[in-house]
Amino acid sequence: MIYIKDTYATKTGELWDCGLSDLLKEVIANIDTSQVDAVYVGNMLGGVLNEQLNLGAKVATIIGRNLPVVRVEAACASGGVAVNQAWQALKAGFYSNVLVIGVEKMTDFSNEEVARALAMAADNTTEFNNGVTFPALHALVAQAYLNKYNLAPAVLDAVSVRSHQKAFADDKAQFHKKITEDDVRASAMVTSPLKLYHCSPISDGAAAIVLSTEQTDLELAASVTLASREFALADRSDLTSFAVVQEAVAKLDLSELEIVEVHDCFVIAEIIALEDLGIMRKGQGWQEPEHVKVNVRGGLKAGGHAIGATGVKQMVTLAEEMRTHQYQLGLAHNVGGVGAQVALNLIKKR
Amino acid sequence: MKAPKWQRYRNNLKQDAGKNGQVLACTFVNDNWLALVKLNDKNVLLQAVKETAVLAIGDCVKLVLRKGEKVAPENPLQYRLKVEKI
Repeated sequence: MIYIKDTYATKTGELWDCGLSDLLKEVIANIDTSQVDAVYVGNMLGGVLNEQLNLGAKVATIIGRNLPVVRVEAACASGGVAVNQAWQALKAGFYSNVLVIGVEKMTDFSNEEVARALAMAADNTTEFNNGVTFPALHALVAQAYLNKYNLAPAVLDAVSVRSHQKAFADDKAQFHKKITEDDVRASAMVTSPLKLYHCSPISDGAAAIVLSTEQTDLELAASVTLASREFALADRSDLTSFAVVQEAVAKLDLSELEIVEVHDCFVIAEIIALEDLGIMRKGQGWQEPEHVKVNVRGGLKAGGHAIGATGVKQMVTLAEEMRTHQYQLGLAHNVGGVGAQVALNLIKKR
Repeated sequence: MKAPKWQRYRNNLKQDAGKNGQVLACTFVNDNWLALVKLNDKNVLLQAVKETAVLAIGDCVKLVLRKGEKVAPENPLQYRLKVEKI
């Protein structure tokens, strides 16, 4: 069995005084790496934005030992897939202690540069070349969802308000700003029907966990990752749910789930996630579930979304919350693209 | 852009130009309508032509070959497939 030992996350936000190396140094300085025998690093934009590839050597240099280090890129699911790869390597018996780091540095660049870099996670031929951005792709999903269930765009607003309220629970969240539904309605239209407050921010941040064969109080009980056979949105048979997530969910027993971190890069993504995970019924994902705690620290929407770090930060959040509040079963739901790839990591309290 | 990529791009444009379809989803972004359009054999994601009025889910549209406004004349991508409301 595989367990979670050590965890650490930097602040997520506009960290002007931190570069990519500084973020890596901070997480590594706050984790016991003495027993680590391999490292997996989730990162999407190191090459495109930071002009820093070969992150493996960077990480080994900061740790100060020759180590096997693998960089994992799966768009916004880079962190969650890195956790999955580390879990698999431990299960296969190759290592005893594996460090998983998620890291992203985005705020050194203009919105246009970041939007273009992120859009490379869409299908190049049919989407990127047409000038598509991720807000626009999620807006198409939102329009289709609202139309299918005959809902007003206002149902999106309460989801944003909840996320901002919850972010006060996290000192390291990007936003500590209370907003109302009126604030959401008054915010700038980005791509109809998504307004500014329906979107997660551009963020810097890093997070790390050590997975181990040595028993602790938290077991990484299951880990599933799947990439979709319907990459481009135009290939989907249904825009209002992500088939690849539903297929991954079917591999897990979530009947006693108590806490979940869902990938809410846009509020419509949270709504669809809650429905795909079976937590809410179809057409009702915009309401707050009563039986499962969701994004208790504001999620990506208010906590921040440092792309490659997100899937690992979700694990850090769950580990800390499960240790503090004695939740028995928690899930990290990390999605790359618009439902193009998913990583689900299930934690059990022991 | 290297020639083979441009050739592939032109072939794709010719293949779909003139087809009719129906809007599955649409969004207004950066002063443009972006629409996901259902054709007989597949779906395509394209921008609407500037003159197009407000698009809505369910609208019938035609795919037309148009010159882009925001790209340099020497760029082969100045030709784009767009949607026009019928």
